[in-house]
Amino acid sequence: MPAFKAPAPGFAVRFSPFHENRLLAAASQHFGLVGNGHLIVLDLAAAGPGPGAAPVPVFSFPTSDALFDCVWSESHESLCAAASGDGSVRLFDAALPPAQNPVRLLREHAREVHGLDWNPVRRDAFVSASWDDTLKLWSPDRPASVRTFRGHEYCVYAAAWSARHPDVFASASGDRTARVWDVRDPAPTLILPAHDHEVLSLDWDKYDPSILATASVDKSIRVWDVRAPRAPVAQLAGHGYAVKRVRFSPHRQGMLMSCSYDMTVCMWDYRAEDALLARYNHHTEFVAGIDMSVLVDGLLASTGWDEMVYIWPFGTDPRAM
Amino acid sequence: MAMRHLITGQNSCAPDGASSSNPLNAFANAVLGQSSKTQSIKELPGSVSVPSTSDFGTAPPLSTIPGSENEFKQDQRPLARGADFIRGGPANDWIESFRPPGVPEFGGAESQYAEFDQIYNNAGTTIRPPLDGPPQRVLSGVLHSFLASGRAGVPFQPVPVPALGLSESDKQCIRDRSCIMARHILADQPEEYIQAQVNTLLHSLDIDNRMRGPMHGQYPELEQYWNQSQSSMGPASMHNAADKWITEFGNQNNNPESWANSFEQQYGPNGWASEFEQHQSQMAMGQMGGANMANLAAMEQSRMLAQTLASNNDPKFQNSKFFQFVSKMSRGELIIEDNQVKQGSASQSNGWADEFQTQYNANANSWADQFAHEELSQGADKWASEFASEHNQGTLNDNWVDEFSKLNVTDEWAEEFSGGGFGESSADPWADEFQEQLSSFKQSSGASRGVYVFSEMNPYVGHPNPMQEGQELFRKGLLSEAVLALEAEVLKNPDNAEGWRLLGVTHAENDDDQQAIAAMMRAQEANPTNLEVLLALGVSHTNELEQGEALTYLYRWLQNHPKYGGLAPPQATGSPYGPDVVRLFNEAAQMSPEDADVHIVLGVLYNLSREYDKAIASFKTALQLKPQDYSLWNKLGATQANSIQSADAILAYQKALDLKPNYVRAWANMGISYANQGLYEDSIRYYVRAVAMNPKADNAWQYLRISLSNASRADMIAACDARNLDALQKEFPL
Repeated sequence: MPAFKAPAPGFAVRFSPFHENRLLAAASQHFGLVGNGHLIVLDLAAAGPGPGAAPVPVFSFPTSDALFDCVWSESHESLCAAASGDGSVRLFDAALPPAQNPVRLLREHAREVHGLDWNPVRRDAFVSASWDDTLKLWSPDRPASVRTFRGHEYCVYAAAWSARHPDVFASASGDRTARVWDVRDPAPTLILPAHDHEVLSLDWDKYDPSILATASVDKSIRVWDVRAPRAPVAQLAGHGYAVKRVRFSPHRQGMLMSCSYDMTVCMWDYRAEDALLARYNHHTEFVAGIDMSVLVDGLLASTGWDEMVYIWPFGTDPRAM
Repeated sequence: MAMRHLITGQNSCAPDGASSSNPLNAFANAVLGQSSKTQSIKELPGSVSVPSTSDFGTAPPLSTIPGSENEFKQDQRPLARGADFIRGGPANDWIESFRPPGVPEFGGAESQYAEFDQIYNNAGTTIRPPLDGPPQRVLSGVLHSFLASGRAGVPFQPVPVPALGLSESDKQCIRDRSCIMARHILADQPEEYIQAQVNTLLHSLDIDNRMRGPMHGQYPELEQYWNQSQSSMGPASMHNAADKWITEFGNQNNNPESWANSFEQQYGPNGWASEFEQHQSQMAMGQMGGANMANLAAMEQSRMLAQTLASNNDPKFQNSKFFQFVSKMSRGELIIEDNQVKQGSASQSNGWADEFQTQYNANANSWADQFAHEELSQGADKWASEFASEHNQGTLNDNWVDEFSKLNVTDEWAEEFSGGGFGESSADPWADEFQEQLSSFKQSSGASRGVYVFSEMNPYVGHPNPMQEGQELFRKGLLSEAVLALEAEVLKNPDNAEGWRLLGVTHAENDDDQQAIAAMMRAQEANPTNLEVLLALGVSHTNELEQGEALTYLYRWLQNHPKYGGLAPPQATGSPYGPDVVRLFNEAAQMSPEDADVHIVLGVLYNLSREYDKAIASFKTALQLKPQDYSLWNKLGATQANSIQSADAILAYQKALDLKPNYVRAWANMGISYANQGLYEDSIRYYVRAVAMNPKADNAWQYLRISLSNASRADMIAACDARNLDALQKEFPL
């Protein structure tokens, strides 16, 4: 199951939390500047083993504007959401024919929606992050957002739910802060001036609920303990350009995956002295999307503006599969 | 830094109305134009009879839809809506919540639109209501022929349409997105470099629509016209006009101070106005030529971008298809050919325009069928019904929205946090730490501008009436001198609010925002309700991208205004919410449309929310009421520069400078606008003029350095670093 050629530059990939062989990908024409988006579900099993075999798209849906992010529902195996450049969040049911999709069009953000994350604990909620400086909390059964989170002073690029606390998520913004929110509180519970440049992505450690990693235009990843946010626990340097996304491993405590405008994907262990575990150079353009499988330990995926989607086990060469 | 500082960060998000980006939609809108836009709104949902029990995509009865475009525009202002939902709809009754009492038309337009979207998504495209109305009639004609030629396989020969406005929002969107991406990618580059890249890209898109002929030499008559218009219409062809005007200015006198004096001697105090009027009429005459000038300048920029890209030595970027794409786009290669974004990267065999066309062709006749099919399949949605049954079973234990509103604090973590954060005897030190952290963060962001820094050697200390002297110097436009006199005044009378205020204004006009804010804060301490001070603080914080502070001061302006104070309820803690403030000021503008100040604040607010078109409109309204307000012309210019209209911005700055020749900030802004257009040599001259007038204008020095390097004048960078004004002025006379 090596590589899949997407119809357009890739922006995001997500492994299904229900099927180990399902991968969701978002791609957008013309590098997301203008043109259509594509939401694709890949079947990895159909590829079969060995080189040359490619994953097969089992669901493909073109959208009228660029897609910047996508996420699977944690509550229903074929439900997924996509973040669109036109400010909408679209819900798709991959089990339904295209004619019946999108199953829901959530049009509230005034500007590009750039990040999505589904609550893994309280599985009936997800959050969207938008360039209109707000985040919105949604429940798939409601036609309108449940809550809007205001406070960021510039584009919000990403959001990530805590793996432990059902009401807590964090957001990353161009205002150079990361903020931690509790959906029951009106204001952020923590404003973390995380970097001196824009913060593009963040994620919670799945094993230690107080550990948060932020990725920034300043090329670094910083790991924070939100209980003592004065200084980062670790600073991971090694990327040559802005770090686009960061994800914590669902299987190994302290392990991180990141991708960057330097066209590489890196694996880290922030607790190790020599933090950089691996660097993958397989993409030929900016890498925009990464994920680690929850169901298969060590299975990684990445996509980039070279229109390629790669799936590979940690420790192997993505192109050799 | 004037409002131009808005350039440096805030402008990147798409303004309202611009975030709908796909040209396809505009195309489709235009093509289906008159036939589909209103009718589809009326007919499409009308033909859908949706069972009220279906789960998704429920269309409400037609009667809820007035059928006007405004409903769709509301789409763009959704912010109050969420709250309405929480208030209006019972937490669990989601069907009801489709039509909350407060906003009946929302549910209508939205879900109806969902239908529409759904159908067209089948064809891979979406018909979207136009956000800013291009001239539909003209467009649809052109686009019909475009589509027809596509079907017939004939290369599309467009009629040269002046100002093909259809893609304004698309262009804006391309600009916004590329700007944000460029900022991520080119983090090491100076902001201005990024700006230049993006502006170049956008200007070139302009060419592709309008300058098709001249670029290929296919329309000799256009070129001819251009040449003629350039020679005959002096003031409008900015480049020439600016040079000429500057030459005149320089000839009259090299010393700006005495220039102002001699001007007054020559023409009397009213000379300004009359010359201004004259100038204005010349401007109007030359509008056409001006537009062409901008396009020609854009061609030049395309070339420069190509050079810039070529000079980037990083192999990654040399090989990046993305940068090739940007480069090609800026050279017009992508759009010139068949008027399609087509030749993109080699791997993209099919441009979106093509795709649209095939899809459109394939589906043009069948969408009605699909629609009918759609109708039948409504409610058969498997997941949806599954969900509905689940939902019914699970209402009691699953209702976390309720829980949320009840503010459940049994959760361990929450308790920990709220206990720590707000409890009285917190054993947990981290909450305190957090508080500390927060306040230190706040402090650090405000520290640099909290303290006013006085000049060391001040000849005006001991002056019998420094206030009067300062006012006089300010009136004459001797800003740096005025600063000294006013500093002497506030040293003498620290509680003189007017002294501090004027000092702040002087610093602002002298292009020193840090000092301006510091002075204004002192003025505000001395007199917390001075409207001018509040407005100035609002503007300065807007320049510094501090939305919260800016909104707070502008809101206070309203509260303290004798006329509009009643509109603004006392503000709870925290900064007010932007759209609320905008609404209040719009109400104020309705109360007294002749109050220029209200329009000025609205312009500032729209800058804050990056709605530049609205901001420009507000400033223009204010200018009709206050045509002699040079700072207002500067604001208009800065806003136009923040939008995509560097050429217009130069005209506005020029008016500001006509009214106040020693307006350092406008000189610097002028330089920025030229630089944004890629005219670095010109920008250098303006920066040099700005720093010559105020050698303390650090920002202008920085911009000068950037322009020197962009103009490949490395030889003068040393002079710039040494702040050697003599050498710079000699090399770059205005």
